[in-house]
Amino acid sequence: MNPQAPSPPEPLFEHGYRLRFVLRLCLAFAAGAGALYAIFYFVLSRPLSGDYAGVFHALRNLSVFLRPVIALSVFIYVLLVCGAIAALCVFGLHKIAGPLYRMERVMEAVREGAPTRTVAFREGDQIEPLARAINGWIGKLRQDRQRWLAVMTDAERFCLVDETTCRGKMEEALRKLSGDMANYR
Amino acid sequence: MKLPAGGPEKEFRRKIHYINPRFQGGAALLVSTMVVAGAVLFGALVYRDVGKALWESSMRGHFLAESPYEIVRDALLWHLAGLSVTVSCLALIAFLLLLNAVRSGIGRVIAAFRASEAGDLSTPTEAGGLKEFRRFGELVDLTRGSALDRVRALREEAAELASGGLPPEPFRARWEELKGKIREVAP
Repeated sequence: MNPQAPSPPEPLFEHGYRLRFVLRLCLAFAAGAGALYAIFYFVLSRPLSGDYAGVFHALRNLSVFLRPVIALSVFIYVLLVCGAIAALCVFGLHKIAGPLYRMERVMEAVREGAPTRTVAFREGDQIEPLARAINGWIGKLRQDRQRWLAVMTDAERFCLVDETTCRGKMEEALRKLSGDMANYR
Repeated sequence: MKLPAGGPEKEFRRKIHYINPRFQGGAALLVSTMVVAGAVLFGALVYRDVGKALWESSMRGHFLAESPYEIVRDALLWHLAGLSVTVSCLALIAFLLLLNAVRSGIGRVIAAFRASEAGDLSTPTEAGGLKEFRRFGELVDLTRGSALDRVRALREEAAELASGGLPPEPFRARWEELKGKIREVAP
């Protein structure tokens, strides 16, 4: 195996998540179509009774009243389906928007120098590779910080020997820190 | 009115944010626009075809159907099927495009964080895709830039102290100060 080959990109979304979202979307459309059908069936299924003139006028009247019936049923369909879509977008896409919000909070804490925790995930949350990348970067910063502090603490141990050695070791540690920090660009 | 405990300058913040208007709202608006367009088209077609069927039936003179529904059933069912299929396909395409935009935006941010692990805190993220991810990419750049400023300040301080020349007392004080500042890096 070639060790330098780049690892395949991690999937940002679970396969099931996409499938569930699409299925719910289709279900919302099917429910809307069902409601439309029910309205039309209710309006149009009244039996045609009476003599020729009665049926003729019933059909003529129906074609006159068709416009408001269609407008109302389309309006109900739009309300139902758009409501379902809004709910689906809020609760379904929250699995992406929620982690993004939590990551923003973590970045804000990093900027302010406040104590930060790793980005935690709830069940079903998506875009996990992004959280891992943020946690990886913060982890690396912490590692560096601990290494820098360890270098300084090591130098301080020489203060038990004598003042000149201590100062020399401290300055050496500072040069090392400065060189180490130069890796950040 | 009683002020919050954190003082007036502290921004009120909910613990859980369910709605991101730019992201979730934008997606809902996009799909809803398709639904409205599909429904309007459906209404126009049904009005044309069902109206025509009823009119023709009334003109024919022999009423074989028991209800108007029997006259318009085929046209109505075809249009309903057409509406459902069209809107579902459009919504599916919109959803896949949305996921693709998320993938593209987030992919750039992940790459920026991986570069940051290697010490590159200055190359811009340039997250594309949706506006929300461009904004998120700018936040990431701001955070990386802030970390870089902090490390640069520490580096300058360390280099200045290492150059010597300070008497022991101020040197010790600045040494302790530097340690304190280092502790503030990703605490």
